[in-house]
Amino acid sequence: MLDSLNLDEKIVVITGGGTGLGLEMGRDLARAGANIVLAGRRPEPIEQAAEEFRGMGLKSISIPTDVTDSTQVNNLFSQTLKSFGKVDVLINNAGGGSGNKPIWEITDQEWHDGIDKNLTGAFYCCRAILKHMVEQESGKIINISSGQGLRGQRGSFMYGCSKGGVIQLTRVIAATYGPMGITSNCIVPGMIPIQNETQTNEPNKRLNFLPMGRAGTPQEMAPLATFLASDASDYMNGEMLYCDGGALAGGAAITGYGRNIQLDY
Amino acid sequence: MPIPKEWNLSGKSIILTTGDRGWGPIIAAGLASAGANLVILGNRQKILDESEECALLYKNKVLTINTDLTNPEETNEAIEKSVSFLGRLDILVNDTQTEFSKPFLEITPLEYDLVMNRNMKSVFLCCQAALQHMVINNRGKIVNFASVLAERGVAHETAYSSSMAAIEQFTRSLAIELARTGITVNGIGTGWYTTENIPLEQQREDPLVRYLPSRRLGHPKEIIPLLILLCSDMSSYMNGQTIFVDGGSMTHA
Repeated sequence: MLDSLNLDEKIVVITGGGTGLGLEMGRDLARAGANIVLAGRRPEPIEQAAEEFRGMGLKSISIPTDVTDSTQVNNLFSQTLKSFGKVDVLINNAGGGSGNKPIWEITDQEWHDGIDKNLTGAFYCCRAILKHMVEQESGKIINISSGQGLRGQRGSFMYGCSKGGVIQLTRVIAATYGPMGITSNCIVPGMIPIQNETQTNEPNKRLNFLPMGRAGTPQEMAPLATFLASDASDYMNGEMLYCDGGALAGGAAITGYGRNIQLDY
Repeated sequence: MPIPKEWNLSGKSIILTTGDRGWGPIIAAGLASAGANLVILGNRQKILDESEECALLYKNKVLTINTDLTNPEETNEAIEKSVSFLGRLDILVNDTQTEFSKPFLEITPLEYDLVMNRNMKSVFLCCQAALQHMVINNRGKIVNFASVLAERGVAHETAYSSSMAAIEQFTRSLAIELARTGITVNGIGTGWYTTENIPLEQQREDPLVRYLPSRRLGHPKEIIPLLILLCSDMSSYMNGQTIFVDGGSMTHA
């Protein structure tokens, strides 16, 4: 059964692949044998990651790409196809938060930038490669959304709306291209601590509202990408995999809160 | 390239509960193939025998106990016996499912009770008994099987779909209650499956299959990798979710 997790000879494109969750997913996929194309705005982190994967005996290249620019996205995939001849898996990981201010202060430009970063970029990448995947009758899209795409987070306008859009993009692709052999699924990470927070071992009081009392780590989420990229997940389509320690199961309940009401009998 | 070692269950002790659908042997074989030692509980001797036979192929420890999992005393006793056989308990996998469909007005109160007891009460009792052995170590994993009918309504499924929704909600609340203990609770929701080898053309004569984005029925062996993931140390931050493996049926309009 576990043989189906092998990714030897698979070509995987990861956007935002040079740092954070993107880099950890790449490392996990590489351990399973995947050849990885790294896209990202800054050339140094993605080339460094590609070098790390080449050091493992894999084929890996980096292609500097701003996913909000469709010309650059089209170039990413034409270069990838030129180098490898196919794309098996696309991981739409690029994106990011966009501040927190009163809705009446958000400018047109800030709204569009926030939506473009997380949703339009993923759409451009899907648009650029899905025809190829449909022609090869196989392909896996893995989108990275957020708990904020499912629940309302105070002040999270562009991020929440775009991440909600990413979930719908996942479902519509699954419903439309599922019959052609394409699967499209979504990882929904909970809170991941920023770098300097992970380095301290002291319990963070700010995270006490989370069910497990701690944030997750990129290393805990990365194996989900390997699972969704592999044949092991072939009958999963249009689904979300939460990796949030239970946050979405409970919502903003107070951890440790539990009523006691006796039954009358 | 070798598979990362966390992707298996070598040496893990698992209790698998079964109902009266025939997935027991497939799930038992899947868990055993990943290296787990198993005790299989249920009250269908044929399913227990076949499950044992399949699991033994992988040369791990296997025991079956014929027991009524809707009965609290029998369930407690079976779980105690299981844990003394295994030496400890790492994982509980609940697949006590009974399938049942009937027009609502024809369902008898007895049928309703049986469906609810076999599907939901058994999960409740097994979790309660098994958790006694997990909370002392502050470590453990529970995986409950449910169905897409936990979230979608279908005619003739009032009793069955209610029991599935109950399992999904049970999974969420138990996950939250245990979140600080190191024990996680997750679920797998299955869609339209068959254990028979039906040719694709024949499957597609059924309008339901033509409606699925997968254009085919699933086979229970297809949930094994996800089950292993949810049983393994890899899923340490996954909690409270029932994940659907349904060929995209839930994504559809």
